[in-house]
Amino acid sequence: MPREKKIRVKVCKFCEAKITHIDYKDEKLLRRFLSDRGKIIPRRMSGVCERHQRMLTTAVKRARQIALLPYVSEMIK
Amino acid sequence: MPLYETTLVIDSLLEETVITEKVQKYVDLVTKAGAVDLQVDRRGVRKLAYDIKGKDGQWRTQADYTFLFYEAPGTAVNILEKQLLLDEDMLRTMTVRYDRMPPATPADLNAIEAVDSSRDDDEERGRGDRERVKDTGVDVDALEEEEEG
Repeated sequence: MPREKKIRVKVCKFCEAKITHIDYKDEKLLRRFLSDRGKIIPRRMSGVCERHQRMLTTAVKRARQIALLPYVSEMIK
Repeated sequence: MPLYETTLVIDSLLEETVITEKVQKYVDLVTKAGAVDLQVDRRGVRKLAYDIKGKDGQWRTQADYTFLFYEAPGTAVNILEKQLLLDEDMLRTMTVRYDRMPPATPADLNAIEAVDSSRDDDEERGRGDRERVKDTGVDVDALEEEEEG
């Protein structure tokens, strides 16, 4: 019986939920994609696709500008 | 005309009536400059993610948030931003331009949570993520034999 190789394919959460716009005012959602220090989690770790990662990055940067999210933090969660 | 969204972060030490008047002043200003379909979204006082220095030199830990959403020519935005810059009670302001109308209900968090919970269920059942694991059908033994050969 030949062994079959299984590859785990990461699927973007935003694509799965059919999200087309990420709002910079949605602080609660954006916080899920930040590390404890307030840095944006890379997509190789979060599994977000390139298109949504770009939208997410823009939204986080806008939220930081209006003080909804921190630029840097010791503990944000 | 393009769509714009302006965020006003106003010093919360001001009285409620003063803040309301201030918001109304900017609404009138931008309407006069040619804005249409203006929507005002007052979110009220909320905690800031980082402290911001006020005009008196004291640090503010909370502020009043207001979002103005409107359709206007670029000149109207210039006029509004110029006035906002001169206002010392504005802790932060930001204007974003949208190429097309963003969805009215971005209830993203719930959708994301639903995806997360469905993935957790799959893992608990010990099947892994059924849909996310692609069966490639590659015959590993044959490959290994080929490599050895």
